[in-house]
Amino acid sequence: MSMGTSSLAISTDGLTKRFGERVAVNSVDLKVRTGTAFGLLGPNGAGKTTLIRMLVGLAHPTEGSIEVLGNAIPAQKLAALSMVGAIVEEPRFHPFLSGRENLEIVASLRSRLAMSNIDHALERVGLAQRSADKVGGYSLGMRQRLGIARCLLVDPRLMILDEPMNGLDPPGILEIRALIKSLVDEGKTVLLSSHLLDEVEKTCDEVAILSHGSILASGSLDSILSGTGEKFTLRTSSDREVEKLLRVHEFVSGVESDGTALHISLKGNEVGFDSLVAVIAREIIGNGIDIYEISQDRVSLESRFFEVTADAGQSALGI
Amino acid sequence: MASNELAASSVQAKAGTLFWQMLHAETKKLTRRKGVMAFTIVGTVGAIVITFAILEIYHLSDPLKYTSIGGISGFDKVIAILGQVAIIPASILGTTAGSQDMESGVIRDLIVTGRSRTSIFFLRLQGAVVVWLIPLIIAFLIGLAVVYGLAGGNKEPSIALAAGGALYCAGVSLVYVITAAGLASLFGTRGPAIAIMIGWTFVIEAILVNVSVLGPIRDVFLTTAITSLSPAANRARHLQAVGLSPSLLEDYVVIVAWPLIMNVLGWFRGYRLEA
Repeated sequence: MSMGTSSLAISTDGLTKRFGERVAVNSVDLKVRTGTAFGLLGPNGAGKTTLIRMLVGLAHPTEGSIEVLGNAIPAQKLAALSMVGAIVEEPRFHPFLSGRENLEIVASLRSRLAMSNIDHALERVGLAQRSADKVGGYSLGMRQRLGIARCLLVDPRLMILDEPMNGLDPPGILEIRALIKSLVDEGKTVLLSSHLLDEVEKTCDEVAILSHGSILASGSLDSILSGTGEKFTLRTSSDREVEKLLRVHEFVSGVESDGTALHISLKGNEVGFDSLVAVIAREIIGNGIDIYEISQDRVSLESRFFEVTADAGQSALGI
Repeated sequence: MASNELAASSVQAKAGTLFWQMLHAETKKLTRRKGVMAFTIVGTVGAIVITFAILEIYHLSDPLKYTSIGGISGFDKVIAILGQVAIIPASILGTTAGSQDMESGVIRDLIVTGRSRTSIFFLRLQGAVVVWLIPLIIAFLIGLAVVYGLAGGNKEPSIALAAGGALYCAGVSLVYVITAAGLASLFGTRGPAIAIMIGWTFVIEAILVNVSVLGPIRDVFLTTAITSLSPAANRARHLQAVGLSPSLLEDYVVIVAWPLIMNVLGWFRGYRLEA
């Protein structure tokens, strides 16, 4: 599917970063649509943070191009980053300054509007009461919140959050998840890099799985979860007869019986999962067989992630 | 006024306001460091106050043996304190300004604002200069008050000499603030930069300047150039004693070259830094 540049918050083409012989990011074409929560997944050392560092001008690409909110990086860095809030790795602060003063340091480089947004940003992350305390006394979770407040100073169109849930307690995670969802509801784009797969699954609409510097899979969460096809469970009055009926269809890639139900795998198809299931159901009923249960087998992001990265690992090892 | 002129003046006003906003935030990073500020104030205002307080106590206890603390001899002490002793707090303030963003990791968040690394680097220098000049000016004014107010029978320095002394103290200490900031930007950490600045200035240069076999190589030492330009007569005599007589041009070249080289290196490191 082709997408116009204006509909993309982030677009990279052939983005590559080498450190000597080591390739940290390998020809990455990343497309993040505006108004989405996009999850960037990958094991440690996959290249997620290096990719983010290039997006925000902290590292220089070896090859390839980057556009952030329609502005080329690094040529139009000021224009692009004036609309971006980012946490790269862990948020860092001057420990001898208060939370408010730390925000003032960054806001002063942004704009007068950013200075006037400090109170609002602190309130939004629940730190208004502690803003006068020195950051040296903040917990990791409070520093994460303050990092998010720093992102909100400019009322950003794009937020890039690298492991924002680190150090947060469960209520804190819920709050930040709700905050990300509310930002997306406001039309902002959030790029969330995380190794917390469950968190990404609950927060993001689209994901990319990165391993060894390359994107292995990318797209909507549903398409990633379905992988090359989808599975569903079927219980009927005559499973053996249904098995014979389904095997003749090209879009059915596999039928397995566990003695109590059939587990059917469908190939990826433009018609869509629901339509294919409807076709199958009509055929079964047309043959006078009763259907007791049809349910989609939901694959977790975690199992899909390990499936994709394991394949890549085997390829890399020549297995 | 035409609308485009109004718009242009509005943009200039906003840019000006933004600059003061940035400078104010930058100075806050230094003024909130209690240890650094205490050392800066003690090394400037404190050094002047304590020195003259002790001398005045001596003078009051035995006016015949100890003359009035003001006048030319008092002025020489002001120059010695603010042009030599103050190099230590100037170096500490400069290295702090040059390294604190990198040391804390905040540099990453400053770059992510989209501001150029060059403007962030220069803002750091400007902040350090402003924070340094305030206690220095206060210390110099206290010194001048003593020099003229408590001159007694001593000859007072001319206004021209006093003005020259002010420029000298400000110039020398700023050279050290800026050189230290550049060196700290190059290292990215404060400790080694302080050790090099103070070790080089007070130990290595102090030893090497007395090694006559080095000949005119010693002219490139910062302390040689600074001593050579000192309005305090006793300091110029020290250079003659060790066989050095750099030209005025050499002095100025050396004084400009040290901070310039350190800051070009520090800026280049920041420019290339993959934060």
